[in-house]
Amino acid sequence: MSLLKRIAKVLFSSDMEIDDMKELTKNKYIKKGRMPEKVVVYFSQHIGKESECCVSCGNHVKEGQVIGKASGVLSSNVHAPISGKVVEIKNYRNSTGRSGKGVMIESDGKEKVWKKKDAGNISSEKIIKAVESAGVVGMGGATFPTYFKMNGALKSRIKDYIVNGAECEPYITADQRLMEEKTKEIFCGIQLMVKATKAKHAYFGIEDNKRYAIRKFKGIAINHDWFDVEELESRYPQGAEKEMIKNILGKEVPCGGLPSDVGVAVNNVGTVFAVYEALYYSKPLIERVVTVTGNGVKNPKNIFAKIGTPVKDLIDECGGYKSNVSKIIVGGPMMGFAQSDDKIYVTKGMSCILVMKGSDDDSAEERPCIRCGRCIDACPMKLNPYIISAYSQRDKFDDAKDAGVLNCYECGKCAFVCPVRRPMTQYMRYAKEGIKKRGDTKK
Amino acid sequence: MKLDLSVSPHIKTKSSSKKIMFTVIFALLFPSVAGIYYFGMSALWILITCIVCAQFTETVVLRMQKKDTKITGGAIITGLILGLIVPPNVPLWLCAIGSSFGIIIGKMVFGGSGSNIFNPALVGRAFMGAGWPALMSVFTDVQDVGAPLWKDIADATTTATPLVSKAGVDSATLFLGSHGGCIGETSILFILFGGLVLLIKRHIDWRIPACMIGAVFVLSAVSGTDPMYQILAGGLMFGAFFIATDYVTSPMTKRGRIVYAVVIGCLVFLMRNYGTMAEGVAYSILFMNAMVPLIDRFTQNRIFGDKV
Repeated sequence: MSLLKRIAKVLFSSDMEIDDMKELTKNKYIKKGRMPEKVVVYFSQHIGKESECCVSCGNHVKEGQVIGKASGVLSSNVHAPISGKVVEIKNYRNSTGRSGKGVMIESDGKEKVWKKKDAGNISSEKIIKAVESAGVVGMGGATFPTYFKMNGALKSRIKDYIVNGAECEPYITADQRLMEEKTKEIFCGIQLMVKATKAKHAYFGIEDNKRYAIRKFKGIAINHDWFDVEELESRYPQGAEKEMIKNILGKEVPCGGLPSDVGVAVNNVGTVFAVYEALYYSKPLIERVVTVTGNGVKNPKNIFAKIGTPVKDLIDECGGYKSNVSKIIVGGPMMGFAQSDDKIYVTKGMSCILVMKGSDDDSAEERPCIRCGRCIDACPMKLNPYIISAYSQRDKFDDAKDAGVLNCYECGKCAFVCPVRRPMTQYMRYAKEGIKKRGDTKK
Repeated sequence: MKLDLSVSPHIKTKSSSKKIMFTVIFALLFPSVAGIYYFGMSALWILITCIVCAQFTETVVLRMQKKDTKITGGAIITGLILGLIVPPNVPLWLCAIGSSFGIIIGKMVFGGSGSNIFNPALVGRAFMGAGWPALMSVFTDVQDVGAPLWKDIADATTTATPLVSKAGVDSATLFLGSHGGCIGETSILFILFGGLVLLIKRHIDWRIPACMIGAVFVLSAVSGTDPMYQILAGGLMFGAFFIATDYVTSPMTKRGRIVYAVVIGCLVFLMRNYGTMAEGVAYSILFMNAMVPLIDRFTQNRIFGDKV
């Protein structure tokens, strides 16, 4: 950064925006993770119903073999990420703190080589089928089963397809590295997705702090008039689906609606890459890029890790912990989950493991609201967090609902900007939970 | 390994209410310095009295309420603002009464920091003006620049403020501030310095000063009074940058702030030209402070994705 820019930054920094903190890993090539000795695969790695276990203790499984069959609403297949023996099936705690059924597989050291095949001439239905059986889910963190989204998109005859390469969460560079290193593959994935969803036009939404990736994709876009690269301002939460649709197409997804209501489908770049692998290699989703970063690890890295790899293994691969680690967060600092220990395992939706050292928060205590209005300016959904938090504090859930709290997707920006450190996002969650508990579903 | 468990977001802005408060105090130092330069030692004593009394009153009340008595800067700002909007020769006992009244009635009875409806400094100022109108309308002239700080206050001559005399002061004098008036209100140049600090740090919304000053300017121009004179004289600039922008007593949405500031500007114009007072900034802001909940109610943002 030039001196002038730095001075400008000090002078005009608005306390409202978030440092992206991506320097730690943004120039580090994706490294293939070490083969884990054992993995733990959860049967619930997607938003819907837990998939049905179809192996038992003592079974030998091959890499890529289905071990959990999709069953029920929004469910998705789960595959064995490594070849080996099933040693234990029980409940394991996952990164959200809840526990779910999982299977422990002990590696036999064999590694499968996935052979490339051509997938150029394949019908829409076949693509969706392949995506379904490969267990691809939204890899930005929402873990919404991708085939479900594609079917929905087909049904509502979407016009525009958006690839989400914003990666607006601070620290995370998994998508950025993927975009820079696997540009062609991602583009093939986009072609498949557009074909499958029968969209007319595809947009690549990307934050303008990823110059190199933008250049690479623009180079491709020149030759394809159905494909455009949209540079978006680097501002959290740019990568939120609704925000992205608005900033690329100028359309607002109606309250409580889905992108398909405005004729759009959005997928994360990681998901698109997984679709590519599912079609061109018949490889199910058993590996993903995880950014291991933060000031608490010795050597932050982007690792292409097997699903189910113990988080501890990944941290060891990055040189281990520094002293006085205070927090391990799965996901980014804005929406991630703090962990009580490192005995958790990589899932399909895990984009980042953030290890923080010491007390990074100034831990200023909460004070009374000074009505500065920053939460209102910060809210991407244009809600009034000030008033909703006041309702929430007094258990006035009906008023909170009237104020639109159900539109909140908990991006955390209101709590981030609050100068008196009110836990705004928690108040939002509390109100949403309160409304849900009342069984009050009317809009 | 002992880990902290907390919910997201795990990072917070570096800004804090304390930092904001002290930036505001820093910004207020510009008009304070100008006031002390022009009006001498008596101005300094007034400022100190106001600040000390405001903070003392707040601490006493907080202790009576058995609340945390940590100094947050709010009372200092109230005292400092009050000191800057009184004439430079007000007796110190009156300053003490005014700032204590402002803190107690303007702030603490409503529940303290963040809960007050009216700007406490203006409440104090209004009380002083209502109770001791004669003392509050005598303005000493600017001291001999060069030896202001040790000049005896008894030597001072009195003068009329530019808004009362309605003429005789040119724009340059108004801009620099070497004329009669309240301590912090005369030097537009230094008010702008302070205002610029707050604008650059984005602690205040530019809409409030812009709309407030703009409204006065436009109405004056339309009605045939000298618009430049109207915006440079009196307490308009100071009020627009430092008082009307107070977070607690101004609307929270951008649209609300525009409505609020424009109406203040209109009221200032009406009070100055058709009222019995020469000045109307303090009362205009106080009146609109009372309107803030109403403005907030009708200027909510449209929720993303809601019907237009």
